[in-house]
Amino acid sequence: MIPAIIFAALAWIYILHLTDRSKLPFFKFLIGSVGFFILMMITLQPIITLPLAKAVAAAAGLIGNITGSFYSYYQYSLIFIRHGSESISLYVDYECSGVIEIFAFLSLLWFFPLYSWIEKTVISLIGVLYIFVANIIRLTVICLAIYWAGNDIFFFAHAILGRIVFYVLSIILFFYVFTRAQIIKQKVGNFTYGQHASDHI
Amino acid sequence: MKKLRQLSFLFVSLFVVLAFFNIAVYAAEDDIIMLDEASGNAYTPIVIDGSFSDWSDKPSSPIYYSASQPHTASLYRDEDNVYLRIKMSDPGYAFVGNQYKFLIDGKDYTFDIVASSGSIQNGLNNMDVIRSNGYQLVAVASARLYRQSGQPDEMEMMIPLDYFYRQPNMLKTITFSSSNLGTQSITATGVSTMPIFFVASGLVAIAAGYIIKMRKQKA
Repeated sequence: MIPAIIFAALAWIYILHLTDRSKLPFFKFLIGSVGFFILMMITLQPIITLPLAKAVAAAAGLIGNITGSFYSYYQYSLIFIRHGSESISLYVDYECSGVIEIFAFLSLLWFFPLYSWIEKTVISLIGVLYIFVANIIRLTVICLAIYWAGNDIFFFAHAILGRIVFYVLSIILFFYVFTRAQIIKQKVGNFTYGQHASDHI
Repeated sequence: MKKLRQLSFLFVSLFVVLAFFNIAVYAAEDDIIMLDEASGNAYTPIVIDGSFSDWSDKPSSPIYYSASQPHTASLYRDEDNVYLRIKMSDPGYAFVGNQYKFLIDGKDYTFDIVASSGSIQNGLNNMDVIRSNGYQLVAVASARLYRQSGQPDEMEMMIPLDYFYRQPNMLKTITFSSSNLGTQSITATGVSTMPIFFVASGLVAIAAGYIIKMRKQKA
């Protein structure tokens, strides 16, 4: 497995080098982001998921503890919610730990041509923290909705409400990192005097 | 932008206020292990051996009918198995193992938990897990029951997740209920973020920035 990963990584770097030499920035971004994401999913995801899931469960549990509305068994990446006589255990597995989102964000960022290395490093740290907090807010919204309305609302809370909250927060992040940055950092073009100004020189 | 900020502030304020709005929990609070009361931070795997100490740091819930004392049930899953523990309400209420319904991602599986020897004796009992429909023994499952005079019966069982589905990591929601114990159900589930939408919104944000930039440059 390891030789195959090393071979694939080398092939990816070579293709990136080719796109760079051929001045194909779009393909460099596309191939770079996808390759970096896959590489992180293969190499880092098994290492990071469990501690991240525990951290998410523990952080969400702190809010639950303060409000007295749900409980975290962080060693099992588990959040336990009760409403009346019903109960539900939410398991924070790799799909809800935020690990995929973090890798996706980093992949897009590190092959986004607009930022310098230092900027990318700073934005990476802020972005990872932001996604972590957004995920905790999402889980808190789901847990509180179940706590207030019971298990019947689980599907709505998880599939609609929680995701809307998470995606709104994600879009805000993406807007500031990718959309706004492109508009602000764009080249205005060659500087020329207008006809009216030239007449007065 | 100002309105958006005001709306965000309103939403956050409402969220914080409602978070402290408590709902009555109709159960013995002793059943809940609080974060700071949990017996340890270490991961304790469950072993089906008739000793129940490995359940002490897992959440449990009451199952009951309104007129009766609550039984205690714990449902737990890991990557490979689903586990269930039932503690009967009092010594006078003998273990009832019929019609244990597991709803696995919307599909019903009902089991009977019966003594391998035919009847439950004092001490440790090996139990068989049998599909109620067709009365087939689930050989990959295991269960133990402990009976001690003056103490309520306590049972733990395990079923491998690949018994339900070939790819256990694809299983999302497991719900347990038993009409012989009470009306409540216990659910163990994951809450996926649907990462594909996250990636898509990132790409849309990049594309939107690029389109706006090109339009501005043209203008």
